[in-house]
Amino acid sequence: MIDEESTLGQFGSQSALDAAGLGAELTLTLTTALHVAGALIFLSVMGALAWAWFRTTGARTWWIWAGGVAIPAGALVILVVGSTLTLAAIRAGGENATIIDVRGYQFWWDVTYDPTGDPVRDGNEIFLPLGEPVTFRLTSEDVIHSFWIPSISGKMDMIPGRVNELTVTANELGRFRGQCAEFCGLSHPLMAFEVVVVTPEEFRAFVADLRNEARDPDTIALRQGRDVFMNAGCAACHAIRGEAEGGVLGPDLSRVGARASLGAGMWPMNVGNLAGWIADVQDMKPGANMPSYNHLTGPELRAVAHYLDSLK
Amino acid sequence: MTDATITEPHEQGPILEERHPTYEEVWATPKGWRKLSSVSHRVVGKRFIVTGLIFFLIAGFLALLVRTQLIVPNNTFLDAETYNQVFTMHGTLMMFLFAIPILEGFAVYLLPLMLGARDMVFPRLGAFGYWCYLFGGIIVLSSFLFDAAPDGGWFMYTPLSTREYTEGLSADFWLIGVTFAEIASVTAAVEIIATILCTRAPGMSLTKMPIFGWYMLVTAFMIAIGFPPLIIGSLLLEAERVIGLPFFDPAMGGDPLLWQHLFWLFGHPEVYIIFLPAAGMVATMLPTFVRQPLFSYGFVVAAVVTMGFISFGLWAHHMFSTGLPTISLSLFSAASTVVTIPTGVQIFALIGTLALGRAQLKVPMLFILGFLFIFVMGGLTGVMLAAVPFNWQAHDSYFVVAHLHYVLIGGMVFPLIGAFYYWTPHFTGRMMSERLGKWAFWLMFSGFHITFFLMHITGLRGMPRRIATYPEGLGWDRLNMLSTLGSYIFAAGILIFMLDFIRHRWTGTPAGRDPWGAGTLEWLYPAVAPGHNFHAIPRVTSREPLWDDPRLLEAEAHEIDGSLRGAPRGRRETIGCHPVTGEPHQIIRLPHPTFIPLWAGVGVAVAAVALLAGAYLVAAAAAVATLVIFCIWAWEPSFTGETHNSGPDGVLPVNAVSRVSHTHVAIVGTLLIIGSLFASLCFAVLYLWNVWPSFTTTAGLADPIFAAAAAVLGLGLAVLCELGKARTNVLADMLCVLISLGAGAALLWSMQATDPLASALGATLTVTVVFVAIHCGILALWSAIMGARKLAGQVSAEQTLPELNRATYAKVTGAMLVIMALLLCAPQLGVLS
Amino acid sequence: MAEASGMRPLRLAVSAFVVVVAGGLVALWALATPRQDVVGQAVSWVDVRWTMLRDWYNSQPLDGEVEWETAQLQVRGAVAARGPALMIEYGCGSCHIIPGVSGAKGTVGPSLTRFGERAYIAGILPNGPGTLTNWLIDPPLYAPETAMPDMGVSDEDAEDMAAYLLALGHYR
Repeated sequence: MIDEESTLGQFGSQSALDAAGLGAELTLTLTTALHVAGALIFLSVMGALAWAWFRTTGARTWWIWAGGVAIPAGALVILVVGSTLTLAAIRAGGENATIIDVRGYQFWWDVTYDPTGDPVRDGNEIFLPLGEPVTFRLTSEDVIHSFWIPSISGKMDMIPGRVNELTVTANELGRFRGQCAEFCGLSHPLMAFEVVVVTPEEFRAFVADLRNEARDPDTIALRQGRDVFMNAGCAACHAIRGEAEGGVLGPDLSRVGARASLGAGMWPMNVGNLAGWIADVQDMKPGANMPSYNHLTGPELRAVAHYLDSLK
Repeated sequence: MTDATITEPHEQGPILEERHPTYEEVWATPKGWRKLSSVSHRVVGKRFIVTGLIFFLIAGFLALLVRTQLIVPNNTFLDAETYNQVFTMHGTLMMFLFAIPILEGFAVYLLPLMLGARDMVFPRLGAFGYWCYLFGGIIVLSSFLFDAAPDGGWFMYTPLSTREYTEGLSADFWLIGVTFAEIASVTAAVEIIATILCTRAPGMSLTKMPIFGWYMLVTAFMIAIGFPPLIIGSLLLEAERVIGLPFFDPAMGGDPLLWQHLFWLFGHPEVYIIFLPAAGMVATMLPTFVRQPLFSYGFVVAAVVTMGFISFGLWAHHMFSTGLPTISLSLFSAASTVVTIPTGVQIFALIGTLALGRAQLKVPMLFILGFLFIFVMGGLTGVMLAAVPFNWQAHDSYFVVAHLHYVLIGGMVFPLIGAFYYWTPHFTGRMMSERLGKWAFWLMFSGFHITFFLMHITGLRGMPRRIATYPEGLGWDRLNMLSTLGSYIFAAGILIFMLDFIRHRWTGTPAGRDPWGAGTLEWLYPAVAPGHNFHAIPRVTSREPLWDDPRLLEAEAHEIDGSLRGAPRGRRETIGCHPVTGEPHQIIRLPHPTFIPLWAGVGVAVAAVALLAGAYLVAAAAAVATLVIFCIWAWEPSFTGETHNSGPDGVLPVNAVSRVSHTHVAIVGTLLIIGSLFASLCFAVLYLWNVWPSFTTTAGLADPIFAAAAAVLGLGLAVLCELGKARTNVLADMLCVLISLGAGAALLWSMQATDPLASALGATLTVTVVFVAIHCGILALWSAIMGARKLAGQVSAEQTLPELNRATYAKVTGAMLVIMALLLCAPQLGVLS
Repeated sequence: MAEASGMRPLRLAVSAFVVVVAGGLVALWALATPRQDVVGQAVSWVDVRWTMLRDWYNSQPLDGEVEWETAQLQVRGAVAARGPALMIEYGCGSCHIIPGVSGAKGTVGPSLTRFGERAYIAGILPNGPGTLTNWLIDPPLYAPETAMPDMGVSDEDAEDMAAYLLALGHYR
């Protein structure tokens, strides 16, 4: 019944220590080096302290020159050089990158593939081609968010009125979890997303498939669900390709049922959660811009939940 | 411990009173409710400390709520809204209402005692600062009562904190309350600068000054320069929220990053402002327990001054992930690492001091060791965060939460608790318990590491900060549970400290004279507060007078020889010294207890509350009333011209007319604040100009003729005041009033074409112009008061100290007018387009 | 006193040993990844056995008589312990408050606290192992107007969830 195993509850799916992308891998090497060096320096200083505590030999000014000036200065030069080289390596090779636009909203992510050619929208789940550089163009439509996929790369803020670029290369197939890292309001903790790394061929097939119209409802029950969707006004904010393409204020729902999670990476995608979400968004995600649709009758709620689940 | 007989604390006061009735009378603290009128640095300092401690306990309780919420995933102990309020208030209270004020409290209490002064040099200003702090703190805290506690995080990033995304009053409570409390900090900064530079004991040159004095001097300068950017930022944000001036709105040519720049221009120095006084306490306490002077004092002073400068060049390392260009990233990254050098020098100076002798492991020493252990770790993670790629992973994750608590708790709370154990005998005459102190230390130390060490790992495993709940199974569950348990252990340590702090008041061992065998002057008198400091101010010949000058501890404290014995004129007086050499050059008259600071504080508080409530008429009335109170405050007789025999230091003038007089030093300090406020505004203007050049034209061009007129009038003002600074002349005062009003009006008039609501640049320029115009207004009011005093016959010919001060102030006002005119005409001049 | 001070190094050594071992175990537990989680697995092994023992004991008749009230709530062959994980997977928590299920705080439908004491399911079906299992598989079949959707629950999953729910309020 669950089509895709989501990253919810997957140990290490959101960890900078489980690197699966170029930026995260290089940074992990730097992190390890920094921690080893830091531990050595810490132990040396504490050793000097212990020595000074138990001896009363008097002090020499060269201690200050050595411990306070020369050694830190040397360590800093190494650190700055190492960090700058790492930075350069992370930033290198973004020239022919695939471009993906991501816009932050309270509290979800709008994703646009191929924005410079034939743009196509999706939301809250991002596909990446294995081993190919991808440049995210990041911005926000309301408050500041921060785009962070710890396993793939470091974070970059999404700031209204600005476009920040972040180039990443995913080096491992699989699913990873990303999360908003800049406090953005009431449901900031509930603003996550899934990253799916697939082969370049699968990636291109996915984007091509995204351009197709959404699956037509093929049973009476599903058609009822589509009618509820249209009549209840969902289409004012949500787009479904081939059915209603005007809504841009909420996530694109053309393939919502195929996503592994609901509510921006927070709950497994299934009929149960969809029904609960539609009926009481404000309880599941306080402060979201979508109202709770608790005026639908029971059968209407079920129908629309089933309809959305069928959009794959 | 000396041989002086130990008596019960309460017995010493009356004995002294019999021998020196006048002196005791002059310096007595009013009893009963009139104690509120006291302006004594001991009373004000203790008020700061106790109030700060209360805020610390409240903020600590909020931290426990945060940790309790995070003990298990998907917890429902607090809802998201409450959680956001709780962590915001935890940060706000700790940073603004605990750390800075309590350290200033220690400084206000200790500095005059260490420096050989009878009080801070502007006691009423200190008292006013305290009331501002108290009322500001109450305003911030009262937001909980109205269910409108701020919930935007302690750095209140825009646009989340603008009216559109934060409705209601919560952000207003924060902005108004915190700004109010900051007034307390900047006033205290001016007071500390003037006190350290101008009221040291005879012979205490800067090189003989106790190291704490150096630390506080640098800190005070940093507060004066570092706080204004946030004051400006808060004013802009409040104006955007209330009036709709679009400073941070990208659609109108504003930029959310402007707030971040202003905030971190304050926020980064703030960390050092918190660390330095605490490090100063450590550098004062540690030598006492080693029985040797601080090793390489000169290096430490140089390191502290260097740190003060460097701290202003690092702010952008809080913004590495905002998309700064690579070149900025590299520069700020390199600059951030440099700060380890002065820090390393200080650490190794302490280690060197330890090597000079065998240290006693008393409780304060234990906390100093804890400080070294934790702070060095926090410093090292800080250097790691300066590496840009690592910062991109760790920023805004629990790694940063761990780092900042290592730096702040290690660098400030541990020294502070040590300082409480060390100086509490001075406050109360009784010792705190060694046994309970050790318990408190070990609980705090172990609890601290359990809580925060694990957070480094939680952060690297991808947990962002400021999240009310987290999903199960991502690898954070167990670490968070242990962190929470650790925080309870830490809290138990604090609780034991508090119990000891309360208990010792009644059952602590009486402390006697110089209980730790310290070398600095604050321990000259028996460890009990007689309510005043020095019956005569002794000449100081070394940094540790109590160690090097045996006569000081041999004689009874009130019989020691020195300047200005007793209070023969029935007035509070202290010696005024040359800022560098420490040689006396004047007698400073100090104010007696008065309610004026309280009334002024109440006035500002009423204005702030009325502003919050939207009762703008009441706010205006309260502001006018406060202004009147300030005028009454300023209207006091001048004593310039009197000369008196000080004893060993010969005949000295009272309130000498001099560039190194305390009032002139204070004016310079104030101008530093004003300059920093103005510079912050100019930064905002230039920043917006740079970000959105296209808005230059839509902002509306200024009228160059009126702007030029304002500049010329400003120059004239400076020349007039400079030429007239040696004479008292009513006509010059009146002319000054007219010219400054004219300059302000011309500047405002030149802005006619600008609609402040239409663009961010226009709004920022308008605010800057209003800021300069207000300073013209202040100069006019000042000159008017000076003229009125002369007409009232209160001023004699040689009393030209106000003229001297005004000349300096007018020069800066003139400079601001000229800069402003250039800025306004820049588009016409083709400089920026 | 001499004896006491002679004991002191020993006591110190023992306490240090205890602290190091306990700290080490806790650190292992806190830092382990699921694959290396020796301590965690040991703890959960004990926990599972303990829970089984407790459930078995609680369902035993005290006086030799079969306790029908308890017995009729038993779902034969079901593993109640799988309940919480399944209910997270199916998203029950977005509509219901369910004790013991992480994040289940929904208020769309009724709270399932003490569900074993409930007389009727959704006010329609008498509460019991069979009816509850059937209900979970296809609620609209029994209550056409209900808002609770058919979530495609398998028979086995439904039995396990039913077993967990029926135990609520009885011995859980």
